[in-house]
Amino acid sequence: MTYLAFLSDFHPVAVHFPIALLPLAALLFIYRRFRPDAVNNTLLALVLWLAFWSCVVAVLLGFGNRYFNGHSGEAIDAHARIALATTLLVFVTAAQWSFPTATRQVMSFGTSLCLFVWRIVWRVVVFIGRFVWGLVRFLLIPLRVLVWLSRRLFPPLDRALSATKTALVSRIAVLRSAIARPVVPAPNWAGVSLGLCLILVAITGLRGANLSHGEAHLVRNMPQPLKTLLGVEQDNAASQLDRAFFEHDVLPVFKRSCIKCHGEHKQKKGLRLDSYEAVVASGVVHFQDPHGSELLRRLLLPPDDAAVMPPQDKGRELQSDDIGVVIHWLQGHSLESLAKAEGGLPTEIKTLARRLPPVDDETLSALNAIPGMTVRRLVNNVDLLLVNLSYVPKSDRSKALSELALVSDHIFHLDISGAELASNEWAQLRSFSNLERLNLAGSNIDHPVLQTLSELRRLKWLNLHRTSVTVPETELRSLMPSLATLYLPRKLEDS
Amino acid sequence: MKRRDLIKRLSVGTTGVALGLGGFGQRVLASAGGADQYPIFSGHHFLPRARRVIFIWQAGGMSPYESFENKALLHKLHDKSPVKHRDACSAACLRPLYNFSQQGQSGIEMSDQFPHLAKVIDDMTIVKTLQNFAPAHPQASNFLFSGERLNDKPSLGAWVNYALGSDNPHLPGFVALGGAENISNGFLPSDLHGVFFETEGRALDFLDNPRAISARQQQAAVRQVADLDRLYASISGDDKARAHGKVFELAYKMQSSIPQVLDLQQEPDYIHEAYGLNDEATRKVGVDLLSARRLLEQGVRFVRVTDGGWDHHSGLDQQFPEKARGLDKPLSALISDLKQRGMLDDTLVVVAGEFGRTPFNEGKFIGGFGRGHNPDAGIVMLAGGGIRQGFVYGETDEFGFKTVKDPVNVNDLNATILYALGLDHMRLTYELGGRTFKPTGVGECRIVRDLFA
Repeated sequence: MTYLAFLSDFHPVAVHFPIALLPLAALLFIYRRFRPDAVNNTLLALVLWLAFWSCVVAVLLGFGNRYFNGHSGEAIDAHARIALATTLLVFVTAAQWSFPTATRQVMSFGTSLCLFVWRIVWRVVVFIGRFVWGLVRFLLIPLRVLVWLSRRLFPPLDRALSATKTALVSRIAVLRSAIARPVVPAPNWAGVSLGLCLILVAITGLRGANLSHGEAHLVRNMPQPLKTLLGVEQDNAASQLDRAFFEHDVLPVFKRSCIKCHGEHKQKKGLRLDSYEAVVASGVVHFQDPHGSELLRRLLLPPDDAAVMPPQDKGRELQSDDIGVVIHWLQGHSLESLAKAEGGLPTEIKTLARRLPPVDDETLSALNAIPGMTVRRLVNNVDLLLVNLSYVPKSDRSKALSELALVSDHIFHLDISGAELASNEWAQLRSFSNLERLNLAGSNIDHPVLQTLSELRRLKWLNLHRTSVTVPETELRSLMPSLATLYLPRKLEDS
Repeated sequence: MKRRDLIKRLSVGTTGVALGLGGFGQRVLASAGGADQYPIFSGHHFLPRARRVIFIWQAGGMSPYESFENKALLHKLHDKSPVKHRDACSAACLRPLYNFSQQGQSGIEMSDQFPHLAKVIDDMTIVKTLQNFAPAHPQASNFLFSGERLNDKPSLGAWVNYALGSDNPHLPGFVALGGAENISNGFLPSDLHGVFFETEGRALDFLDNPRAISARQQQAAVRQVADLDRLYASISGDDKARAHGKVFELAYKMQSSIPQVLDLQQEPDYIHEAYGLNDEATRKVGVDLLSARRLLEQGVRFVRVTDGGWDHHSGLDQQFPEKARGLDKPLSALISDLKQRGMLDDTLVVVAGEFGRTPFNEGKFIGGFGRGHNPDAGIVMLAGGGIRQGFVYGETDEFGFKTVKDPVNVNDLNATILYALGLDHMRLTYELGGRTFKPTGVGECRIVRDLFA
């Protein structure tokens, strides 16, 4: 079985034999017209039999791929069917050259059969025609009576009409004799089937190549004018890119940074980026293949590269999030799936999350394995973390904090309520640069530590309830201007 | 999303930014969480607004007409039948019994039976259109908590416990106070069952060891059992064994944590006063709500408090003021207490009965006032956890009998509670017997996003 699977991998090699041998046979066939002495039937037959057996080998290996290597699917089935048809036709063609007499007999029988069928069809057509003609005559009886009367009354009219009729009848007679005896030239059946073989092997090969190299592998790099000239379907897959996504998120980026040179008024290098159709047709984007897309390659080049887009001196510089948006779009995501995956996060959080390196599940597992610690992603696939340190026992806390240092930029909400931290442990809080929500209720936070927290530029929510902090609210707010919500120690009746 | 799509999505697996649930369901337990948790995902489905929930169940179903529904038509038709029909003789209208006035900045109209609640009404959202699928208590409360008609399906708290667990390893994720109905884990692993605590007297039976057993002996025994369970679970892949060990360990931990957490003497006097612990009328609910607050503060995820006795088929005029008084002061104290502790920002307070009551006087036959069950329009009070402040949602007809706008059925309510916790009720599922179960029963329901600020 392993050997069969291994052998089957050579299918892409084997297919090139029929692809080469069949055109060779065709070339020999044409050459025979000019030099009948140089090419005889035996040689042609040899080449064709070689082509046939190479077809058989290729087909067997192809089916091997299907059964042992798990290649399957509708496209594979279609490819297999056409390959079988090709093999059969090559066999018939080769047989024609090996057994010319028998072939001629079979083919002349075929010709007679065609003529026989044609006669029957003609009889039926004539029968239906007569029936229709009779019906028309019957329906036109009042008109005919009128004509008959007027011919009796006006002899000149009678003469003119009978002359026209005589002319028409003789014309129809000529036409009928022409149709009734069709001239069918005897075709060169061997040549015809060889031509068909060529067409079939081309289709099979193209289908196979589409399977291994991708749908548009031949026209991908076709120059735009040639595409227009030949009416080549534009990169089919690119049109699967989500239009709503483009218009909602991508187009604003292009409008800001690109369309000055690639828009309505100016189209450098013939490229327009101001509409979905234009971008999809441009050939610079490929569906689900961001890094095969010229557009992204240009965006990602180093700033001093001559080919970088937008150029340094022109256009507006891209914002960090912009390229992420383009990549998401090229990956083939829809606006809904993106919104769903991100759980309807506000844009600023999305922007923040995309700037950060990813946190893998192993890191998260290791963090959660520390006793009492809970670490969760804010939303699946958004690597901002909710961390609860409150219930980590004192003995594990330094370990927890050192592990957290690995993801310090990702910590978004932190709960240390009720915990008593040592001063070196408090110092580590400053490194959680993206912290937005910090719960210190009931902890041993004091004024000096609080002052170091002013380095947390994004901190919006701070809970100091049940702490010994006595700093007035105004001072705290001026210390941490980003704070929106602040809870200070207070008794229920004060509120 | 249809169930079939869900299954397809599960089997195909997802790539890139698509719904990265990893594997969920019972097989994949150790994806990204502590070894002994049920981390069915490493992150939330939605932006979590709340981290904790307290669900106060007005068992029996509070009357809307004595609380938030003031219908002028009922004053006009009081003691008269609204329709001329011989069967309609029992349907004599009953006016709202108490005076209504607008309260707070938001001007929400409420009865004078809730004077303390009126002071915090600007922090609350009142939903007037809670709908249930059954008009009888047992089925309606099953629907309210599990989305299913039958008994012993997983309760909402068990689902939340399954998804998020307890932050505090020494306390359960799902606690019930005041009543132990509808707190089952159903088919979910058995350690997710709600833990019922008595709030007066001893919280749990058997908290203390027998005299012959030393702490060390007991510790060793618990370890042994948990190790055996874990060993068996790792061989057999049986969740029940793992749950069994976890229950043992948690019980052991609770021996030291529970007396601490539920010791209300640690709270200062003014808290006792605010929750009404010094007054016999408010003491019961007050103790439950204060205990609930202490549990939530210590990392419990979901507390269900039962406040029974709202089923006023008769004696409405005597019993309703008692019940209202019992709830009014403690509830308003809970909300303002949570608020000044900074906990209201991420604690969702839900107050709901299983259904509303009718505009008709059922107590007439025994001489008095009383109202029947109305599963088409009930009251839900919500606060905290990102809920809108001073907001009324839903409209009923001029009798307050039928919902005419923005219905919220019990499944919608539960889907919305899960949404507040960052959970999608369509993606929080459990595979059982070839069927994918979700927390919100069978069929479609909606997340009421309008309730959030």
